[in-house]
Amino acid sequence: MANTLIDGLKERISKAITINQSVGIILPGNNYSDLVQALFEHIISRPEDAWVYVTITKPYENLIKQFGDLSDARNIKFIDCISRAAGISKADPNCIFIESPTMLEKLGLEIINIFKEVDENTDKYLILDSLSTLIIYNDPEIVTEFFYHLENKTRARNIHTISLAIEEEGADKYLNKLIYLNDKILKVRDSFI
Amino acid sequence: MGEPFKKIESGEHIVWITQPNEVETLLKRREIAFNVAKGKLADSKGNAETVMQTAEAFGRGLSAEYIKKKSDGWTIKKWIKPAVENIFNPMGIAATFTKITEDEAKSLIFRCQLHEESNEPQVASVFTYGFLRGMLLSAFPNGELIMGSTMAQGAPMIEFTFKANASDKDRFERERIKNFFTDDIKKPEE
Repeated sequence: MANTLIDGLKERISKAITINQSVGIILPGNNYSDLVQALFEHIISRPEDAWVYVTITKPYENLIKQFGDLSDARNIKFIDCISRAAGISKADPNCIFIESPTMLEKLGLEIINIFKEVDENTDKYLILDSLSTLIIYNDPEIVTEFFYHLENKTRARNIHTISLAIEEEGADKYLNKLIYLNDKILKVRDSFI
Repeated sequence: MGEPFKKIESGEHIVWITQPNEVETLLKRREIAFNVAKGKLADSKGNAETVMQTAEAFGRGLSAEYIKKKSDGWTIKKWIKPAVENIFNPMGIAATFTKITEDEAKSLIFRCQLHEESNEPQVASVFTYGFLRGMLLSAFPNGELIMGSTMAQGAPMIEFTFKANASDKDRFERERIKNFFTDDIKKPEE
């Protein structure tokens, strides 16, 4: 069942992100593991593309442990916004650690700096995991402003973006506003896969 | 809050993040208690109540040993600091507290070795719920622990609300959690 789900997700993500500049994925919390697994498998299957994975939800170390070792993959770089805030100080050459999930300006700069190193003809993709977690740590107005700027910068540089939003009961009104800034919205529901 | 947390501020928005700093003795004790719970689960042919009871006893024991009783009585705000400093952090639990008041605290655990490294995430969930509940009820006999999302079901974080005073609905939470995981807990082979 899990494999069917992951394959279904991979197919949907692959189609959506090829056609659209920015894709927002709204998912129930319980589908998070399947979705991240699908994203990682998709990244591995596209070694010719350049990917940046921003994690605010889980520490980089735990993502790698849980979803497979991408630390040696050449086509992906990570930005971890949560480990340092929790005093987790392990270093890794494939990951940039940001001191706090509130340092959004620095996050924006690091994203653009990584893509500056990438060849012009290479397809570029950014994954933001997730908007809902950013709202846990930041004033929603500040996250809105950050996301507007990020979308403008990435569009100008032809970087495709995938933004996750984990649904909860009584979802934050800001989250709905933010996720609909994307060109395409994927709503993950078991029955649609 | 003091040192066991890092305070994160964005405008008027404030949260607190624990500062995990693993201590081998506590990790070992948790491992032993978890193995005892799993053994009892096997002996009882998959009865989740045995895991819950073992975990609650473990939590009460930790509370008696590591959380000194306040002479002027507990509030959640007073209790959470020694609980994080002496138990959460040494167990390597990384969590964000999104609310800490006199009556209630809300936490999102985003790193928990027991869940992430166990082959039995459902048993780990019942055990974690049970031991935190045992700790909480040692200080707040009328309180209750409410569990939201959990890693065992695929969520990225485990959500807990620590309440000093349970509502009528909250009093069913222990049974709800036990029943919720009972079907998922593998029955030992006959």
